[in-house]
Amino acid sequence: MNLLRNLLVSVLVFSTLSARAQKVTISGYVTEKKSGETIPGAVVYVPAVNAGTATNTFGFFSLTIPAQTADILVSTVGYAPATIHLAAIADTSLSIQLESASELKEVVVSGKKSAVQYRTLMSSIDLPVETIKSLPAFLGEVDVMKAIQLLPGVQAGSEGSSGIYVRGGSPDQNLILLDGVPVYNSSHLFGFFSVFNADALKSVEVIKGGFPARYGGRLSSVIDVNMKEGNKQKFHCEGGVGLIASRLTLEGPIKKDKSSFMISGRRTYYDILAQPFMRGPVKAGYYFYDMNSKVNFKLSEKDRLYVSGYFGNDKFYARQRNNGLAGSELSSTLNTNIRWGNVTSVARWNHEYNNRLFGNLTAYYSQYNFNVFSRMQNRFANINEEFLLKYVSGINDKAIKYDLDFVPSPTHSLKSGVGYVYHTYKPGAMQTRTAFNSTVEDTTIGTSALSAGETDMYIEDDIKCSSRLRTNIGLHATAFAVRGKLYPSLQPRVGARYLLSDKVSLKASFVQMNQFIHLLSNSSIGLPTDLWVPVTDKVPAQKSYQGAVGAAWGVAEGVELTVESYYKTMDNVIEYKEGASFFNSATGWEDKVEVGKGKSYGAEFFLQKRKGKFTGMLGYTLSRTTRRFEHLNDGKEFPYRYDRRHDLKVAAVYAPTKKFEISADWVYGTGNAITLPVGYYTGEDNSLQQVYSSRNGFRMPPYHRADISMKFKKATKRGESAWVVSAYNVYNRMNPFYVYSSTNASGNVVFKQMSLFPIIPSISYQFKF
Amino acid sequence: MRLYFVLFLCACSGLFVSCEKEIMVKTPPYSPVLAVNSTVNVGDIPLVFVTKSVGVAEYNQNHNLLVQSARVWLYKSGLLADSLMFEPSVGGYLGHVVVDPGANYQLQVVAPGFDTVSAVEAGPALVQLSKVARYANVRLSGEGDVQDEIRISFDDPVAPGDYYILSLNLQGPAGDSAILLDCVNTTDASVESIYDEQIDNSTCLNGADIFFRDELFNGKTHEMRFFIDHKLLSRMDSGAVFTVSLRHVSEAYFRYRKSFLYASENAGNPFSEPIRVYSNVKGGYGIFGILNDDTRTLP
Repeated sequence: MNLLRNLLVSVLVFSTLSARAQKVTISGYVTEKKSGETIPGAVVYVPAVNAGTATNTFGFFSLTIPAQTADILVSTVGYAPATIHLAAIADTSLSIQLESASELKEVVVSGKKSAVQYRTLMSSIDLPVETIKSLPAFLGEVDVMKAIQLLPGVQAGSEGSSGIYVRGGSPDQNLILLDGVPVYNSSHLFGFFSVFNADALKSVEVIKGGFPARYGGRLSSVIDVNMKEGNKQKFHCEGGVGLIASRLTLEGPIKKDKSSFMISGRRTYYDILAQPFMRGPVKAGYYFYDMNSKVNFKLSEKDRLYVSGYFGNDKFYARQRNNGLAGSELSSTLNTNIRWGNVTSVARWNHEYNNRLFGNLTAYYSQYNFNVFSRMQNRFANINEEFLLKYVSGINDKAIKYDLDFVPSPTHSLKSGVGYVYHTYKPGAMQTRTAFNSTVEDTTIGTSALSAGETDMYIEDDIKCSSRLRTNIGLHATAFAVRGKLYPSLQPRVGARYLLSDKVSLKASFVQMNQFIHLLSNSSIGLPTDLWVPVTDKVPAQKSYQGAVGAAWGVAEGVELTVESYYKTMDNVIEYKEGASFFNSATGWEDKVEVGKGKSYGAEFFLQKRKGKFTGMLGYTLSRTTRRFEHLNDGKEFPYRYDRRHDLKVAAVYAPTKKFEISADWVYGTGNAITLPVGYYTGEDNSLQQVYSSRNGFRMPPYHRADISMKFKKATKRGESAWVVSAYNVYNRMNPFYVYSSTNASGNVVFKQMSLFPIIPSISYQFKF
Repeated sequence: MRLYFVLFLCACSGLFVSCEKEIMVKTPPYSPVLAVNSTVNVGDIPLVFVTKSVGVAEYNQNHNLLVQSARVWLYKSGLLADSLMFEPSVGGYLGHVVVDPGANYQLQVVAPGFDTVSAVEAGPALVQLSKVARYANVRLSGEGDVQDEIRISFDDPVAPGDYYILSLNLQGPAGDSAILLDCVNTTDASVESIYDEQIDNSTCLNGADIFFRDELFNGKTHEMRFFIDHKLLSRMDSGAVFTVSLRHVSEAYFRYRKSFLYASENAGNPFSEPIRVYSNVKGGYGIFGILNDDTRTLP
């Protein structure tokens, strides 16, 4: 009853509907009570007629039911469910407010109809930001991508890396969206941290298969991240001070209930702390920072405008100044900067045409740049010498798209859209300048920018076939134009859910996905030199087919179990040729890669407990992933480097009181597949040559690690503060980063592994008011 | 206070200090095979080195892999031409007859405890350099250094499928060591990088091994231009000797040599996929290659 007591329902508009007297449409928005933030994915359900729907990205819903007095249940993860008693005799617009579970004395997290067994979409997981924040964090920095790595079917690459491998796919096959805008490089500090500042986020959804038609452009996953809109009721501040970085988020109303803002920033300060100890002519440092901001305006009852942006950079710098070298008049200066980062900006205008038709116009810009600047100057007597080097690579997108949500009848829910993206690829251009007194020579090496146009269209229909059967059928069409050639594709998407009982459902899906860009990377750790390039005649578009079947079981309220198995084929995946290990692939990259096929299949088990003082998740994946290339491994199939037969993850949060919370996770994975020598022989010039195993014929030792975190909270006059003490790799497991062979003192061959991180304790302070 | 800062920074730095340890890796059973290496110039007597391969678990760098008990036969156009004998002073099996151009050879090696291995190779024809010239101060490199041009030309045989390895060598004055020419530029489209990457006129090539084939100039006179740092070539003024060797080789040797150099350059890089050195030895490892080279010295 406490929950219902806190429910606030406001009926904003009543309109008459005489033409369809026996059917009425209930539409509106679901928002959070305290902040006014819209809530995506909330389930709106009318038990009397067994009809329901879910809110879209902007919290809007539309549901048509027979005219009657009925209870409407509204629920979603992380919020107390609400029941509205409504005399639905005419079309009705509602503004429904839900109370955050964290604000309640009793923790009730999910409603019945938002349970996993009712959703049509499979292979999809909502990861509440509060859960992400509760999990142990590397160096105390809460990381969205590392939390995603705890899900079944999602694997981490190398130690500490925030790159992810979903169902046998490579990192470039993940569509990472921030407020609907693709983010091309999602990591800071060579992959050890992701670009997402959890304080600025509202929701995170991960889709591994069964992709609805509205998504396209990548083969393996969609990670849909949405920023907070900003508190529409009152000013709010949140921040933290950690060992390596600090962060601050401010949000509040611009005009109460009408508009709000959110701005959030984060910066590391290792460089600043190190400065006082850098003596001598060399000054060097590294830092990263990022900033999220968003404003939204309720222009009218039917129009809303959202403008948001992200700006983040990593920078390494080194400066050296020498005067009077070796007692001479020679002086020299060296100035080097390496900078890389993303910029995204997006404007979205929602318009509610009527209670069944909702439109959204989006215009966005996304940019990733990697820049190197180096200048060396020498001066001696009358001689001036200068060498300057600039290297630029990156990608930027300018896009516009329009999406419509339309509910024509109680049994159909349509989504459709059209969009155009103008890609500009800068696959690496180097400029050098050599100057000797008045003689100057400028040289430019590398490829000039390349443009491509991508047009997308989609339509999908969520169909209620019967009280037990729901299907989602869609088609995604893409036309990619580059270098005067057009690469079209039609990608069918089908998903279905059959309710066996109130607690158990069966699900199935089949999707085709196409990807028209490739990522050139010779590492798994997200180096800034990784290069996005478009399809070419030699390296065509990647294509995948994925089929999945599964079952979802609502074991108890707040406890869910899903079991899924999948089979995925991938065409035109790329792999470097033997020996390729280079950081500048600007020229001739097509000649350095092999084009082949990939295959992945497996089963995933996922148990979640989302209610009570003890919450957590347990995921296990049994899978096999292979690759086959004509010119690699004698054309035979071989294990993918990140093929992981067993992958087990456990994460738990225990909050016995409001003042204390403890969380822990443990991950175990079969070792990565690697190629190692199996023998030796003497070659020409008496050189020692190695005989290698088949490609990736060996396994590194298994990876396992436990992390723990304790949060001590304290209520303050204005809000709350907390000390967070955590330890990464708590039992100091030396996990392999890479393995190599060498000879020991006796002359025998031994294998050695390099490990990166031992146990790493950290402490941070958090506050909010 | 400064002490705390130092301790703090040391702690932070320690986070990124890597750790190394020896691990056990279960290797599959390995059956040793013979490795045969013989690179012979047309007109020379073949010298064949026979060793054995060993599994990782059995390998010790102090153990000699030489096989002295082998029987090595050289067949010419299907007929036994030579029976090579082990020569302890060179550690290899030495033949008695010289290798001729245009003939097809098969090398067969039998040793107790090993499967028989064999390799076939044809003696390439001599392709003579018709011109070798140096032009001083012709252009600036990407770094702004003055470069000289070495221009060569030769007549490619009419039959397609000719492979070449060009060596540009600068030998210091008597008693001095060879001068490394590790950044030779070229404008010739037929030249191939050992990395199989596209090259342009600023790509550094190793002057000792420049690879190209006759796909673009089959049966024609081909002129090639190479650019080398003027300062290096100026040493010829003080007694250094510049030689150009055009080696006409088989496709097998061409592939072997490229992969051998690539593997050598890539050795020890844990982040790249290892390179398998090409072999034309059936049932074993190594290379049986016949070269025919024409060497000229710049005046």
